[in-house]
Amino acid sequence: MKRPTRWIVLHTVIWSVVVVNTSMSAQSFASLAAGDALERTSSTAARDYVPDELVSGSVSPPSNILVPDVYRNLVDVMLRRSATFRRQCLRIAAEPRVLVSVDVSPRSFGAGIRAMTQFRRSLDGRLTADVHLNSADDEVELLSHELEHVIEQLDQIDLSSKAAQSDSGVRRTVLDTALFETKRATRTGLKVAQEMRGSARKAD
Amino acid sequence: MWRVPRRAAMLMLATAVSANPTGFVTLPQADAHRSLADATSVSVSEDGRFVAFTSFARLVPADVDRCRDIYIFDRTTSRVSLESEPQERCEEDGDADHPRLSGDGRMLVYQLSGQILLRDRRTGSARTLGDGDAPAISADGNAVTFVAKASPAGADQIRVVNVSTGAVARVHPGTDAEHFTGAYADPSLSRDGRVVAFAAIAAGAGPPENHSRRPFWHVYAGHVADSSAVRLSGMQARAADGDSWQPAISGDGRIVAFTSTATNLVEGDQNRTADVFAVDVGTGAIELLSRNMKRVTANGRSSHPAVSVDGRFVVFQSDASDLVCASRCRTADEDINLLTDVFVVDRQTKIVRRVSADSGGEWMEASGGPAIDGAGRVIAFSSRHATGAADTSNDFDLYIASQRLPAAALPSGASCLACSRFLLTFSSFGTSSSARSKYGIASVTRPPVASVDPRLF
Repeated sequence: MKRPTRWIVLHTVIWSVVVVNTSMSAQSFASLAAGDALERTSSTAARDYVPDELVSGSVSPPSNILVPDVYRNLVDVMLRRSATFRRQCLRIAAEPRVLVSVDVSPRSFGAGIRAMTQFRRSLDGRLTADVHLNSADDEVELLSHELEHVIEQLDQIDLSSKAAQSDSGVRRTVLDTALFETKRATRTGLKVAQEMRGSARKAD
Repeated sequence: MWRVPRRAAMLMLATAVSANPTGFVTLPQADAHRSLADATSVSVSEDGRFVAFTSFARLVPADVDRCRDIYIFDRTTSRVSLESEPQERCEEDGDADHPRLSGDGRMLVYQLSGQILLRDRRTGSARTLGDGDAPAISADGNAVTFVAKASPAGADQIRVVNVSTGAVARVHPGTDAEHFTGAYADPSLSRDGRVVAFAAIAAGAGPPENHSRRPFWHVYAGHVADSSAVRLSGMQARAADGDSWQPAISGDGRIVAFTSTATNLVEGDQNRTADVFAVDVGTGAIELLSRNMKRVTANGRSSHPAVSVDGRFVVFQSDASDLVCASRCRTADEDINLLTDVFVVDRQTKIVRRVSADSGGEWMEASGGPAIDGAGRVIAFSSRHATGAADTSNDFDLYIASQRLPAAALPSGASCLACSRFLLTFSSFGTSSSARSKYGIASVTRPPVASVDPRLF
């Protein structure tokens, strides 16, 4: 049995789309007595929340995001400089049933389209995301934009129903198709690009 | 844990809160599988000092199982304590869940393996109140309600147990218990345990409801002493045309917030999406709480309301993105995560504020299952948002937020240190609820809600 495949496409004017095709690859317990004698309270479990601590520290490139060799250095730099990109990678890395494959090559996706992601969800729950970037000069924004679409799928967001609501942040970009763009992905792509520029200026 | 004097505790509480500029304290719940449709796994005591929550994490040495356990966090001392007993087997119904606290946090009620357990944290004693689920406890700790599950010979029941005397009362829709068979859910008690709100659905065809071919879940409320309850989700002649559930009654028993998919409760509600409403039990007036800045229904599902003592503050979760701002928003007000967030609405000012966000903006992870203290100042909820750099598991953890009350919500010249005094001020509302009710609830003479009548039943 096959399920629809989703495509996410990025226009030059930021709006990108998701295309739904019909093709789809199927795919101690310890002693209670001992517990009774142990301490039942703790003063170390709670911690104050500090936002800046969330994405500090080093993050390795997730093994389930496959990028061309020529882009590995870029990903390393993005991981160092962008907290938002680190958050994205941590989220995807925590999902072992997801595989993201990034391809950068000139392709004709349609007028003004800069990037696209095809999703294939198999019956056993595995999600494969094929990310195609069609531009060589704004990969930072495009890659993080498309990875946010991947996370949207991990969050099981129903883009179709969201697009039917006003001011929802989801737009069906082409009528009668399942081509969607989200503010969430758009903002995330721009934010990562901004963080990269800001970090570069600091380094200078 | 009970040696800290109350006044000193409040002072320590204020000091501890002010030391954390973000206002959030987090605790691990390590709950990867919780659905935001599930019942709230968090409870805040009315005085705001204690937060009960469920956790799969082993937060203390005595937690030797792998089950979901009940913990309580003392915001004054920053200590957590394990309250449920370790289990030999963790099963679907073997995990402890649904913790609810009395007003001062002394009494804890929760469900475990289909039973309702009541724990007195001062004496350390625990007792089983019966088979059932979805327990709730009054702020005075003297009444516990729950859904007693159907025996082979009978139907579900809403039971209210007097903790002191052991007396058990049943409350049901209408005046004739024998003619109502069906299912019950989500009971909630006023702070003195006199008024109970719950959701119920009649079994079988029954009398047809207006605008529907099947019976809907409805929200009811009634005095425990009367055993009968009246429908709040729609007037008698015009019942709600959708399901209504998750009632949360204010401490004074005057306001019931609930979730409903009905479209005929207020003017202009045209969607079939779950919205959060509040009904004044005295007057029957219903207001839509999950509305956007354009004063119409929000563009996503809203549910799981919890309410402060006087009903002024209602916290709920929502998928909607236009509750705080719909268009041309400041970055801080934007809601573009497409996920469930936690909001609090001030029914007096009509202002809705997102709670599940920080100074850096909105979170890109889902949050839900909120609870609120009596003053509307402490809000606890679960979120997948990372609690720190080491939290990479994308599971639900507990967030406790402490917000400043609007000046109008505090007694003149008072600060938040006066929250305990503030609660006493709230309680005086109970004496003034003499409105004639078309539902018959407020027509029953009620003593001040702050008083505790030993003859509860």
